[in-house]
Amino acid sequence: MKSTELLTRGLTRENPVFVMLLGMCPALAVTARVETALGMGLLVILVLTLSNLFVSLVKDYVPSQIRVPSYIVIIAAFVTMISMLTEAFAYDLFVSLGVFLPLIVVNCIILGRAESFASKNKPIASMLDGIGMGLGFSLALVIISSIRELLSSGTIVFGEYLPFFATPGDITQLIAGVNVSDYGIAVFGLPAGAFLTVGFILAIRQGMQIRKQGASA
Amino acid sequence: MKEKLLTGLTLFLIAAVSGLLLDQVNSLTQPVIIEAREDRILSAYSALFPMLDSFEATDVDDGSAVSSRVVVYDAQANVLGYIYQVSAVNGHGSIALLVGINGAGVVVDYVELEFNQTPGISAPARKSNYGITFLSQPIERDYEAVDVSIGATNSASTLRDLFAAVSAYHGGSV
Repeated sequence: MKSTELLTRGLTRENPVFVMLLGMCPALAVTARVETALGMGLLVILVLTLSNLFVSLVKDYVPSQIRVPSYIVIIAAFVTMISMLTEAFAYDLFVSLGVFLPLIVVNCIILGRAESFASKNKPIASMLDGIGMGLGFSLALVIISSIRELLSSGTIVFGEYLPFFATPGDITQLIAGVNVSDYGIAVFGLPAGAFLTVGFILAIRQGMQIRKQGASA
Repeated sequence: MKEKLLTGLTLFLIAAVSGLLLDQVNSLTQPVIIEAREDRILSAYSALFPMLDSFEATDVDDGSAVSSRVVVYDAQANVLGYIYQVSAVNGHGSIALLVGINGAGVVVDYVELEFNQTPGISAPARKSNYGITFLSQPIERDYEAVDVSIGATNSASTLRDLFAAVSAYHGGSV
């Protein structure tokens, strides 16, 4: 499989959230704000890439009966490391992700890719698969959170949680030059809004899929 | 037998390497985390008592939710008030607060050092919603009468119990 295909297939064709419906808990829970979703996406990319690399490196030495426990130990170690680093260097993000940061350990995407790809492929390909699937997961989170934050508050604000956004800013004001915060729909900021948003996106995607199949038949 | 030993040894090696890596990352991040935590506590002291010039902290180890008591002084060495650090764990996670009380025994403000409760669901119990009802109130009051039916009962009960713990300690120490 080509490197570019490994990197891009997670974005659309095999998107973990919208196509495989994996990692739905964080996709619903941390997508009230775009910045939090972006932070979660970056952390998942890191964990997925590192765990895929290490699973691929040790796959030939791990007996099949302890395969899953070994992968879980590797994944849990990386998540704990990432958690410590986040608490030290991005404390606001650490607080905003709360319990969902340690819960990356049980994110289906991580173990799923370790089991279905990294345990059968070479280290470089596994790393690329981790990056690609992580990017796909991040893209899904950003799409969901953009819709939710915009509809719930009328704005998309950056600069509160991630250390690389130095100055807080409101992207809708930058783009449109207007403040539409008076028109927020509060339910989209709540858990019910996450289900509604994901449901609508999946319905649109399914409708497009059916239409495409109908056109080609 | 040999196969079982090999299996155990493999899992042990993976766990040992993971442990070593964790130890390295921990030694790198721990000083930063501790320093940042201390900075947050110091800035919280100043936020609670803007006139703060110096303070005297005492660790509390009496088995209650109170873990430290700080007496706050102004530039003329007058007592401005007291700050109590309290924490508790409930079914949703942990809550840690710094509660500021002035010389007259009134809650001036409090700072959420930790609010690790279920995100979203616990929002009604945050300071801006429910916690604000404790401000400007005497610390010594009937906490059983405080209404916790706010839509986040567990978090609200824990918050109320923390204020009750401060009340009990403050009543016995001042």
